[in-house]
Amino acid sequence: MKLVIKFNLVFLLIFLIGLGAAGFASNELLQRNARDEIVLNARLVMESALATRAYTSTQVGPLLQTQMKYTFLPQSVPAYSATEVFNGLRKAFPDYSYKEATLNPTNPRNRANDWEADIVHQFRNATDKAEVVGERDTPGGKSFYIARPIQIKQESCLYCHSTVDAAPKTLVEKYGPANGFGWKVNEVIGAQIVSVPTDVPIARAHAAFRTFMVSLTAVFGFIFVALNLMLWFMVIRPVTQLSRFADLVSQGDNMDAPDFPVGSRDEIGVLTQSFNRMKKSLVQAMKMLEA
Amino acid sequence: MVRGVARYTLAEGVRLQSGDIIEVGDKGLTQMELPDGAALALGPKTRALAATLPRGKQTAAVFYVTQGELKLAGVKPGARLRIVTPLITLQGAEGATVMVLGDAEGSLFVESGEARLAAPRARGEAATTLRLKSGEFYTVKARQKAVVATRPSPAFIGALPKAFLDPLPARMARYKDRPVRPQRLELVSYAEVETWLKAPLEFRRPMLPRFKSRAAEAAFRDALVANLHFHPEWDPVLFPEKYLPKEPEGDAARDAPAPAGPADKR
Repeated sequence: MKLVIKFNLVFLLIFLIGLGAAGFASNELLQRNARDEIVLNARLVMESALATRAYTSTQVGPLLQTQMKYTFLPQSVPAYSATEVFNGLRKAFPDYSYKEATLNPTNPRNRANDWEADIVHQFRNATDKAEVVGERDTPGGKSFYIARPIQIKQESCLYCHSTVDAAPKTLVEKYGPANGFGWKVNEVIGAQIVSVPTDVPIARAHAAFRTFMVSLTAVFGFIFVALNLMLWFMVIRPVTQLSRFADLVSQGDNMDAPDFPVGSRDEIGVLTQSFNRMKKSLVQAMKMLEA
Repeated sequence: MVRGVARYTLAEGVRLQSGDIIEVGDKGLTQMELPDGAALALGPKTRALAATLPRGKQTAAVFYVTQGELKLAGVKPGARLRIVTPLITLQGAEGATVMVLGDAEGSLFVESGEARLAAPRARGEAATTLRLKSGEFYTVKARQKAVVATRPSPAFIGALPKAFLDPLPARMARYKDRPVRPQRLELVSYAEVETWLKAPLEFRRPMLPRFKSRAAEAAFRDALVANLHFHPEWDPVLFPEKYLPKEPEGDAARDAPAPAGPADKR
């Protein structure tokens, strides 16, 4: 088997092992980063919603107290403002969603659907559970969700949600007496659910992986060609020529020919010098025998 | 604003005086603040007269409002402040009260606290006070029985200036040491004060000495004469000869050269 074949076989083997190992490691890293990004996005949305709720509760609500005596303003309700802020965000990110899914909501748009109700019941059955995360298929692709319980922790929350008689008249006037009443302290009445699409970050990770693998293969290919050319010009061709010259000398030809040219000062050059010295010694030995 | 017998341009910070007449422009909003912390805001096209009237042995601040929207807030318990309108008389209020006054209908909403109204009464009935609690809504139409509801009507809420839906901001402290003088314009015409000259007697009585000097002007006097039946107290001013002391009958019969002329019959 020729040297170049042996060399290329070894090179290819190393290339394939390297490409496989690098591909596996990078794919794992990119996928993990994509998952982390999805979770981070979901948590960011959740924290934004919580911040909006707190802002509404502590700053906007008190300013609207007088107006609430005339007309109920949902803008004073933390859940409403968080949902509205997120609806604004959805104009730029339509696949994201935020919902304060509630089993018995005042505002009908907050009513929990089937899968949301399941999550709420998980929190109701295990009140120490702080968070539920998961993935679900949606018409727009896979979606990652993160959910936190909405628990009535303050008596003041019941001002609007205990009984119809105790609730502000403007609230009853707007939403009617049928829903959103009968809540109790410490009861889990719903869940904040943030859903973010997983397809986009995963697709981005796949694209990055493809780009990385193509780039790595291209680099390996370039190295392969370069090494083969170097091997050909620096080793195989001089050794072949030296070998052919040695063949002629061994057959008694080319004894009077000039020395084989030394092309370099590397190991091949040293070998050529050694061969030329050996040829000279052989010519002198032959001359001594002939004399 | 009408002060004395002249019109003035009202500006923020002007000190209110008893007898001032405030007329708010089509898009304006005026707020009056009293030293005890009470504030009275007037909406667009609202006309009000600030007066100080005797109440028992003391005096009380009274605002006579003929039309428009008003919000009264910050009245302390026991404060001597009344709001009188053609349809509703607010005897007292703690907290915040809002009123909308139309031509033939008046509405009042107790935003917080309590309001006491002089209940409409039939002839011969004793005066009674109607107490309204926070959140109650009172509506009265001319010649109809008043109605109290638990919620203000959408029409009422829609008629209110947006600023009335919020607490009234206190602005008086900014002008405590910086009095603002209103800019004097021209003397008032009869038409400009006609409403006040035809007001209930307790409010129009002080108008007589106030606008007496204006009666010297022909146009003003002619208008006073034409509407004399609305304000008969002007008769002695307009026709003093009718009120000259009569001479003894014997002397008069002897000394009177001729019967009374046509002017005496007016």
